[in-house]
Amino acid sequence: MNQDGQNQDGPSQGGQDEPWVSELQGRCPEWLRGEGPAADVVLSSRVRLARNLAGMAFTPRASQDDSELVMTRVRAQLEQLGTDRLSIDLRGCPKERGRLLVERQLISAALLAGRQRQAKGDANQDPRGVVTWLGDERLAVMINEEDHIRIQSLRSGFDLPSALRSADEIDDAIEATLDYAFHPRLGYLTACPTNVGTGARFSVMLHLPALAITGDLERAKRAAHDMALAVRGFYGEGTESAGDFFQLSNQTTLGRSEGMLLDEMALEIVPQIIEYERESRRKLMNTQRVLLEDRVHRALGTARSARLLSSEEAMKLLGLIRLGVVLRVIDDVALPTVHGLMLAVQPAHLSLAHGGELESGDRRAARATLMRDRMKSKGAG
Amino acid sequence: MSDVPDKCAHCTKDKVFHDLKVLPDNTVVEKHACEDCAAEQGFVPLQVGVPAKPTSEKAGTTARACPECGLTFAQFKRVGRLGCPACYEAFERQLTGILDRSQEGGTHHVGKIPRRLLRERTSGTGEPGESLETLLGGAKHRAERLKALGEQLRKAVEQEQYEQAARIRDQIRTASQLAGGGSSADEPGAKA
Ligand SMILES: [Zn+2]
Ligand SMILES: [Zn+2]
Repeated sequence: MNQDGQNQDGPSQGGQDEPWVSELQGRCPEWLRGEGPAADVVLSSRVRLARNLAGMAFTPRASQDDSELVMTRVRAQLEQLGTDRLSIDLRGCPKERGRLLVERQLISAALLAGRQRQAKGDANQDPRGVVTWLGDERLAVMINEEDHIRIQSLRSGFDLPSALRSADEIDDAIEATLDYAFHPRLGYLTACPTNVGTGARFSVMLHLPALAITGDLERAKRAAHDMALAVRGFYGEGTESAGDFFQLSNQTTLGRSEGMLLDEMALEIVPQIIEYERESRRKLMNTQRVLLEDRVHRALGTARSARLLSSEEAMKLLGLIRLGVVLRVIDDVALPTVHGLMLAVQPAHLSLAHGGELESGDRRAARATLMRDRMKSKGAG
Repeated sequence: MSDVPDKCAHCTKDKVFHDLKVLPDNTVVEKHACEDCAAEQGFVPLQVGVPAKPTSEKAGTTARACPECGLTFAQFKRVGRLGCPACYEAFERQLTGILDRSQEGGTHHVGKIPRRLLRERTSGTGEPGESLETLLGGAKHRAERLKALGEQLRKAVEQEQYEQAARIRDQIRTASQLAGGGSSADEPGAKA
């Protein structure tokens, strides 16, 4: 299904009856599939490429017309790629619907907010959008973020190489007719000099609950910092890491190729942290089994009985339950149930599932109800 | 002051690019030519697709503002974002320190080159190796890259990560072909 037709009539996009809202809600995005290499510790792998069109101001200094032109050219180029394409214009998009895309990690919170352009006026009218592909949401192209083009490619589990391959393919497809701003010495030019060069950022989303329980998490985080990696929470910069989910990403983009950066993460740094977490899990299972079972079953008990839950508490519970499921300490909850809830308990997903009508107080009650329903013991049913 | 000509040095077109070429002995030749003439002679536009604007009329202020978008370095420091691709040239000197800090000493791009650009540059009249070299930086950086790749290959084999090892070997092959093409000219004895 190609929804571009619905997206050609300007600011009405993202309106009340957008089919993409329900279209997305019923599906599991790639990064929550729970498959792929080292899926016990690594939720997902992500590659992001920053690109800008040659001869045009970067988004922060672009005029409304410039941004409009970037949007038209990039969308036209992407129109030729693949089926089930979903192209969303974020102008005038109601915030709750936009937040759905942020929660699914298809766009950044900054893109939703607008005001990438340093111009006066209504930020929500800044030309900006995203193109993704329905079904798995493995690929997303943000348009007019701080850079004109940000390609994001995701894989479930620890699989940076194939995420890079897909990002590369779409990059080539865009460059087939559009000229990129490229400099022989500095490589791909970006609005922020910290991205110049490859414009590539490799990230993995790790689940490190055992390190948190044994108290070794800070050491692991410091080690990552020492190896020049950035450590962020579940939803990126400045967010809490409720549930012990962490994003690790490279910060260097100049002087080393994509392959070198990828191999550094894929061969050296991340495997060490995976091993560290697994070792902690083994230690807990072998020498502190009661402590582990207590933590995990308390979480499950709360999930099955709470009447009010904040999204942060829900994520904390789900993190511990996930650990219990992976270690088979919990045997009556399936991993896809846990992963599905990680998205369903987020504010916009929850509200939109209730027709977008929930106040924050009602939201906590609805979240707890959802949790109880889905966590019902199979035996008890 | 250096006045940038607004006519091509080789023909009469007035859409002029600021072009550069790295010779085998690593000296850099700069000239102002139109896109066609530059490609013909194996020059690479410093700013792909961005014509250099004549700057002579405001020679006194050009050091502080980007000639393309007008951003000043003070403005950049305030917002942390550059205004346009040409800013990288305009603030080259001031950016060096920032890049040094944020890029762990990396100064030259190593990695992907836009595919179409690469094709256009390699199918031109010049030797393929020469155009590639212009795009990929000097021999020294390729040697550094080869060394780092060799180290990674060793580790991959050690850890029995054979799929990754194979990929690294491919990268080494590509990199060493380029290094080989340039290195004969780089050796002092080779030309004499
Ligand atoms: Zn000419
Ligand atoms: Zn500029």
